[in-house]
Amino acid sequence: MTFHTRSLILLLLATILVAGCGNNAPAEHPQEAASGNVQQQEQELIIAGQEIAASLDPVQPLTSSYLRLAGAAEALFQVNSDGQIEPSLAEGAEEIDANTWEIKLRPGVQFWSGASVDAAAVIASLERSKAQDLQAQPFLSDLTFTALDELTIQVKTAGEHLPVPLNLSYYQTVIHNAEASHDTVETMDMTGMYRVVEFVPKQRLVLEINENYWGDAPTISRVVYEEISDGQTRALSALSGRTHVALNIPVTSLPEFTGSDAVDIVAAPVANSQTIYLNLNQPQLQDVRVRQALSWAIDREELVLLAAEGQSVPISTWLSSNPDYAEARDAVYDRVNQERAGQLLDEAGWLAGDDGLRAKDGKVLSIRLMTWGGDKALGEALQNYWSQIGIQAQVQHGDYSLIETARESGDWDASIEAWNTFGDTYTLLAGQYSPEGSANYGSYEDEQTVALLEEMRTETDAEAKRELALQVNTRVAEQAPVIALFPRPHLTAVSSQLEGFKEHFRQFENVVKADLSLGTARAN
Amino acid sequence: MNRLRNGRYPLSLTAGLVILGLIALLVAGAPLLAPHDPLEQKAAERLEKPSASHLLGTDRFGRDVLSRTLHGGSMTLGASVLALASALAIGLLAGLVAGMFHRTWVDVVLMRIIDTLMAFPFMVLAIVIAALFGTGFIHLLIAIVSVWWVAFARLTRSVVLQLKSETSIAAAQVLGAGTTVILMRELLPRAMSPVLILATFELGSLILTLSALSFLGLGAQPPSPEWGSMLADGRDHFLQAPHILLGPTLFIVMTVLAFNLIGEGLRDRLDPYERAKL
Repeated sequence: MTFHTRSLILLLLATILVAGCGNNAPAEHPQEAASGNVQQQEQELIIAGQEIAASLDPVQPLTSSYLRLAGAAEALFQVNSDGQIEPSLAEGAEEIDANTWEIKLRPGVQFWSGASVDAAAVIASLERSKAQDLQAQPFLSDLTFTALDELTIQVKTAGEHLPVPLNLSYYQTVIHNAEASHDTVETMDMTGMYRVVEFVPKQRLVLEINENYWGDAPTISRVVYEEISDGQTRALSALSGRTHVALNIPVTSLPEFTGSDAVDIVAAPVANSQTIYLNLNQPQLQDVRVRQALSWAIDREELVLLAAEGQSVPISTWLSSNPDYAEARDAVYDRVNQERAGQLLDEAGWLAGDDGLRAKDGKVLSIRLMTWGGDKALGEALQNYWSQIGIQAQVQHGDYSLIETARESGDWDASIEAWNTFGDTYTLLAGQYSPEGSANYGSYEDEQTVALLEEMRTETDAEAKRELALQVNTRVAEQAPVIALFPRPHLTAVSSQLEGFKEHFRQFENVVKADLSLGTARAN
Repeated sequence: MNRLRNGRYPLSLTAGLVILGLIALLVAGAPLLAPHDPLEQKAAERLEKPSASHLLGTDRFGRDVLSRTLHGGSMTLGASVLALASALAIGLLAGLVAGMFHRTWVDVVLMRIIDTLMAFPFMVLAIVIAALFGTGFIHLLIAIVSVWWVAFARLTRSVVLQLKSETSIAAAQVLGAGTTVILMRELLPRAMSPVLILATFELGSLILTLSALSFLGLGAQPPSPEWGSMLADGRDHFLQAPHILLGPTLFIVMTVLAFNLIGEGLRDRLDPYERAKL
């Protein structure tokens, strides 16, 4: 053994020794903070999520969802775990006629700054979201707000009988002080039971009780929401007691929680569809037969096993992840049919060569699928199905920002995303499939779909509207600008120390509640 | 055995070569030795434990881990050797030129470039390249080569500076040998020994770096088997099916160990001071 090798071993031993002798102050040690003395007055709730906002401004993409999740932001209404609309900052709402609603605001509500949450402030907030947040537009673009008095807002709707309270329950419509600058912790101004006291972009959000909160004061004095991007690490953080709530636990980690008394897995059924979005501006994807072939080639039953560990159900149409539309799960692509897929590609002129790859006019049929987060395995399984029908399929796995950048530049073929399917079906479907829809990433434009959506917008009979929604859903699946796969499983790991945690089908925005408390952990 | 005792073939060199030879044989013979298609997915056989039909078990897609490990080696080792050869060529050339034109602007410029690259965090550079040009092995190799040549350049330069003061070089100059001749015939052959020793050590580090970057998703893209990415994929099922990690881990450890042993042996064999100890 050389001197160099001996030195390395000695150095390693010394490092282990020093690390072992290290003195971690209890207050700075998160594990102890999470599982330590619950009798202490200053309780701290630690939540781990896959991502955290890069900004504090609620009109920035997804920021409002993080703020709402952590108890910093509220909308006028909220949806309870049974799917019913409940008042939040609003006291109530009344439909005056087919195109008019009146919303009564809760008296005495203040922003963190002390400014009053009156009709003018609420309208300014909603108008700001409508103007600056693309994702808020599907819920707000058809609504016109007028202040009738200090606490009453009149809402005029472009269509008849629009579900205004539902639209105003989405996280994209959270109420914020439009006159405040939402650049820093000091200047941002919201209404939630907790106010943000520290923010490190993409790392952590720390919140403390808002003493002027209008509702019940929360029991836990401090909330820490931190980003742990790796799913396996999130799972381990929950198992080790480092975090009280770990969101988006990977399905592959489920076996690790078996038999654990210290952590419960909450798997409330969710209404969202894991979906492949196709870029219809790409020449090879402009032919509907190619898109249909991509969908026919997928074995969704097997996919649920490979990519979701069996924790979901196959769906072939986008809306069918919503339990109300479950009948449409296999409305179009009822089974895997690679033969049919091959025929469609033959008809489209993409013929298989000696190497098995399909080509037309000397160009190979290729598709680049962009995945992110925990969807790498899903991408790999899809790549396999498409390769089997002669498509040169590539998977590019990386950060979500790469997908956003690719969408902005138009340099993408396909990407995976899961959107919520619960709510006003017209708003949801228009957001996805109308030419100007904010989630219509692939520039899908189909006359029949547009006509059905228009019919749906003006339809007042609930049953007829539902029937139209099913027709839109089927038409879109046939045209295949997107390919629905399965409802994305949402697993949340909750420490048994945490009392009052409720299952919710929109778990990602319903974690922090006033009645949460930290008790004693069950023995393992 | 007498040769071993005499220090002509140090034990570490022999052991390293034997291990590397075995690994190379397994990897090169993967198309013949691998019992299954490394890309074939069989959902019905997913996460199977090691058995007679799958010696190292199967992964989450039902793919044979042994076959993927053997095939993955060609990508890991091939890419490492390719990156090392490129870095070595660039580093040797830069070092020779910098040493030959010591204290001229050429030397100053090259040294400042080297200083800058040495100060730049490699992982950040690799991530920047991946963000700019996309993930994939080619871009990963570009990132590695653009930084890895520096060590060879510095070593070559220092060797050249030392050799330049020797009488043999002065004699060559007096006899009218040109710069190119002195570089290629006098300096390069004598600089090769220490640089090759460094290269064997660096190859071990390179394999680890490649695996680490693939583990982070910056290298090989699905479904290509590669040791680092196999570790990353297997990690999700670590507690449920630890056998998935066994193959790539073992091969990475043994390969790096082999190169380190070879490097140590070569140093013992070629370094006059070490040889004197033997």
